[in-house]
Amino acid sequence: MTGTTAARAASLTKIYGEGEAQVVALDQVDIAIEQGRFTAIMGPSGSGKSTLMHCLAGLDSVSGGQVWIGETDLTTLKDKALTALRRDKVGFVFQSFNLIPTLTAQENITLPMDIAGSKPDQQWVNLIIDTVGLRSRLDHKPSELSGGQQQRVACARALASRPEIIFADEPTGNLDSRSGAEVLGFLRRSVDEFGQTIVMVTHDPNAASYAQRVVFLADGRIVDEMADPTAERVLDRMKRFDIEGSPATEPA
Amino acid sequence: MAGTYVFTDSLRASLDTLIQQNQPDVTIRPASADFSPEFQGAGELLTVPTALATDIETIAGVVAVSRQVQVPAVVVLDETGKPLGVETGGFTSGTAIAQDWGPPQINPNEIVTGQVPVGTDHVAMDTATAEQLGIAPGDQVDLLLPSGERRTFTLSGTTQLRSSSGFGVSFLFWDFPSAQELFLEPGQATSLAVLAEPTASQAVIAEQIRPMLPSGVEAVTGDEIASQVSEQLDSGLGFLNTFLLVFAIVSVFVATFLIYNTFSMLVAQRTRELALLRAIGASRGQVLRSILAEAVVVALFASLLGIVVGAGVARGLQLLFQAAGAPFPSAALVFQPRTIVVALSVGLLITLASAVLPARRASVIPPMAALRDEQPRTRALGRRTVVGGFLLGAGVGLAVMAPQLAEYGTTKAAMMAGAAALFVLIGVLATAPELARPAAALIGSPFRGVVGRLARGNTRRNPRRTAATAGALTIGVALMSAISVLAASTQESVAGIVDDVIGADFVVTGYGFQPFSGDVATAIRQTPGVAEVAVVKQAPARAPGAGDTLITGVDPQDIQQALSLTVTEGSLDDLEPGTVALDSDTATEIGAGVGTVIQVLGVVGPVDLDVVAIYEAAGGFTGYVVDLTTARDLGASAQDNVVYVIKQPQAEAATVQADLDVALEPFPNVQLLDQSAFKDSIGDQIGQLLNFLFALLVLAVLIALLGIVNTLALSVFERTREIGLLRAVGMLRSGIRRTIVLEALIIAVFGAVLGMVIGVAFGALLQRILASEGIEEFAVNVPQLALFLVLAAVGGVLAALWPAWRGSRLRILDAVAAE
Ligand SMILES: Nc1ncnc2c1ncn2[C@@H]1O[C@H](COP(=O)(O)OP(=O)(O)OP(=O)(O)O)[C@@H](O)[C@H]1O
Ligand SMILES: [Mg+2]
Repeated sequence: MTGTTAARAASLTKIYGEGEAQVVALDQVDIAIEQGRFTAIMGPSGSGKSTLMHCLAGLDSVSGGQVWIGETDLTTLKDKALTALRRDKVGFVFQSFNLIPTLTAQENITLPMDIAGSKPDQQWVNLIIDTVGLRSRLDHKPSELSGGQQQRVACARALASRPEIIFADEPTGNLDSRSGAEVLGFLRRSVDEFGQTIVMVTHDPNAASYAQRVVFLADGRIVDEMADPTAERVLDRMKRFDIEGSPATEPA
Repeated sequence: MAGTYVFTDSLRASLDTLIQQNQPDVTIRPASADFSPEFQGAGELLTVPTALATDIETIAGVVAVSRQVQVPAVVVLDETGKPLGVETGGFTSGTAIAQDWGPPQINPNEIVTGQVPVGTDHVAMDTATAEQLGIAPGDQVDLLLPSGERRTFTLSGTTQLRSSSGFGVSFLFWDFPSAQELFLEPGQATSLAVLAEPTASQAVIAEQIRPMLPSGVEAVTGDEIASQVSEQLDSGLGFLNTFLLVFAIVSVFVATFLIYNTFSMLVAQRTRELALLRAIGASRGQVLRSILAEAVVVALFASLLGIVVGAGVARGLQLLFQAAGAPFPSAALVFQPRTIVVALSVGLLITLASAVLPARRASVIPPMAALRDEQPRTRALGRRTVVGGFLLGAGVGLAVMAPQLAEYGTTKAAMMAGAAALFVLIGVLATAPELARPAAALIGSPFRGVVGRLARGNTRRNPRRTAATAGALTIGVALMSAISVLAASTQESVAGIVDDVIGADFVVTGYGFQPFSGDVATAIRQTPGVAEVAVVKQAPARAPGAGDTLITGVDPQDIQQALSLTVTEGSLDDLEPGTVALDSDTATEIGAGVGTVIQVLGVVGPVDLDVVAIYEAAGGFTGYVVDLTTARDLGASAQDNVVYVIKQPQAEAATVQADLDVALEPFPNVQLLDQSAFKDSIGDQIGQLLNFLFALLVLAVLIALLGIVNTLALSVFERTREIGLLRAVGMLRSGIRRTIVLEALIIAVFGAVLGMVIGVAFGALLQRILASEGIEEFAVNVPQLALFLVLAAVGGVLAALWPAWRGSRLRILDAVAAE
């Protein structure tokens, strides 16, 4: 591990429902996200990837354990403070429905700053807009943009406020491979060139290969991780889940 | 809707019980023409000789003959010496009906506390009046008798009608000899009530009585009276009913809008679900039927609820009347099967009607829509806008033509204007979606920042929905504005007329426009500083071109000093006994000119009058004008209705007024008004009528606000994901709330402004049409309109509170994780 941690979880547990219907989505997860690195979270469907991301990002409450972003313990925060923290320190890219339909691309990009009432750093925003290649589309409404363009706007928004960390949940899930590659390339560049910290949940080994580190999740536990992944290695690892089925037998 | 029916039925039923009970079998009464009830009592008090009773009692089948006294216009004074109820205003006229305490068979009243009054010092009165005065049997009460005499009586007891509560009018009771002594000449009664054996026929007895009667006296059976009274009530209530029904229709119209809206949204929301159904093989018909079935269930439920609410509203109206001083005779609400059937079928019909379009739209959703993750696109607004524009044009055209029609008759022109208003309203509502985009941008423009931008965007996103939601409000506000403009114009015109026409310095009228003693004029004449006094008397009559009306009696010289009247033909100086002056409108209508002989029917019989002058109606001064002698011949009472006072030019107005106040102290039932106070008093009356109208329109506006709640709640639901996203990227709950509230504000202001523009325009149109009726000035009550706007805005904000709260409570993850 190099550098400081941007986000961290200790004994993070998330339980949905009660009694018979109880589901342990996260089971005593310890994880640290290094600053300035591109981390991917992978695992079979239902393994708790989204839940982990939501808990790390302060979108969902936890059932046990603690979560930090920077030095702030999220589990102690009230809604207001949590909202402010999300606004100022966290960026998001979701799988779909990332943009407010009534706002233009430009307005969507500066939305978090507008909400906060702070002035966007115009130079920085310009740099990002050029990087995602959306200059000519700034005045368009989301409905006038392609899926890939929409996701690039979402990435631009996440970056525009220079958050400490960006969470992306299957940002390329709805895109064809070419648009997906554009978005992923852009995310990777923002890590390499701007030192941005990114956590990305994905199903796709190919997408994971853009990351510098992959954490494997199964049945709510971290079962493995891999540095400098390639698509083949990740695919191999994923196949083993399918064969072994139960992660309990998996060496951590 | 249901409220209207329950309301009028209750009123009718309570009055019916009142009429049916205790009607004497035969009534002997003066054969005054059966004028509309509002003109009864305005003329001279006519009587029948009591001596008739002895003869009638000899007829077989007659059990007893009871002599009766019933005198209107007795004034009950409160402890300050003012007519009771004058201070509180409302419908109370400050007058009472004086009656003798008759035998129980013909007396619908019974004693509640104390006892039957005996002697000229004792009086009994209805419980409500006693309560208002705060007195109990044994206490003293001051009354002002029609003669002008003020007398103190001891309250002997309180009374109530056997099967209902009061009328909003006070009832005072004496024993017959005392009542006769107080109000009538010896040997006279106002009527005789004949009680027959139960087996005897009313008609047969009446036949036997008739030959005994002197001229000017008639015998009427109880059944005849009951049906006469019923008829009069029917026309009176019919008016109220029509009036309330119009409002009900407005409400239903507004409601139709809402239902249409709601179903459109529901269908829009369920596009994918419905498309999925179609994809797995449901036919179009099935989809259509499923939605209509849902509509039926909703409609039944809502209509039943509506009936309950309606009953509540009717009760509310009852209380309103009660508060205004005109309580219903009977407190019970009446439900007729008709009410429920009508309410249910109307509810069902409009729900179905307004659900059909959305349902049809739903049924044409292609199965493919299930696979697209898109909100259904709103269709191009084209066709609707074109039709709307056409209607709008037609409406404007009608509106332009309407004033021209006024020459042929105000009613026709007003109807035309009404049709124009309807067209314009529908046209505007149809084109409103086009307007909604720029309007929302404009109205929202003062609100900067994301919240403002989002709210603006939301209202513009689905202009059709915004327009429909605002449309409900538009209708209500348009009506309110039109009425407001009309009222302001009327007030302004009246004020103008007062300025132009009334040359008198002071006007004396009775409270509630009740006539007052001739001593008032005498007292005024003797006041120093008074130069001229012009007395106006009124005689009820049935006259060509005017129907049942009040004929004005004046002194031609005096009145020309007090009022500056424009005489177009003949001269008012020629007004002498047996002649009449006519206003030009009435003259044109009946084709009369100077020299024409007109027969009018006064309370004492038909009278022929020569037309000697035609004048322009001015303010309240209109219709048939005769000299004082003729007025008396027609049956005007000894009392006066209005006295105009002109001071000596050199006298100080304030001094004269102070002197007049002193001179009028013995007459608490009259008020002395200088010109500006006179204007105000007329303004107040218009204002009161206005408030009543507004109270009813508020219902429509409330429904419209409910519509905003509805729309926003559904929009919030629709936008779950968007709200979640906003929360995720850092918007506080309060920010979400503000966005939704602001959205409501934009919708409300849009609807209200639109309504106001239409309303003011049609108020102006109506004013022009009614210009010939005396509403010559156009005026806008700007503060009032501004108040409407503010209230609409506030209402919009209030309407948004609940949806906003819901929106801010949405869980972020529900939104983000949805799908
Ligand atoms: N709101 C909820 N209520 C109950 N159970 C839930 C809820 N959300 C998630 N779960 C359960 O928690 C577990 C983890 O879900 P999660 O969404 O984190 O999986 P995932 O790894 O993101 O799956 P996928 O790859 O399909 O998105 C699953 O078993 C899921 O059924
Ligand atoms: Mg997931």
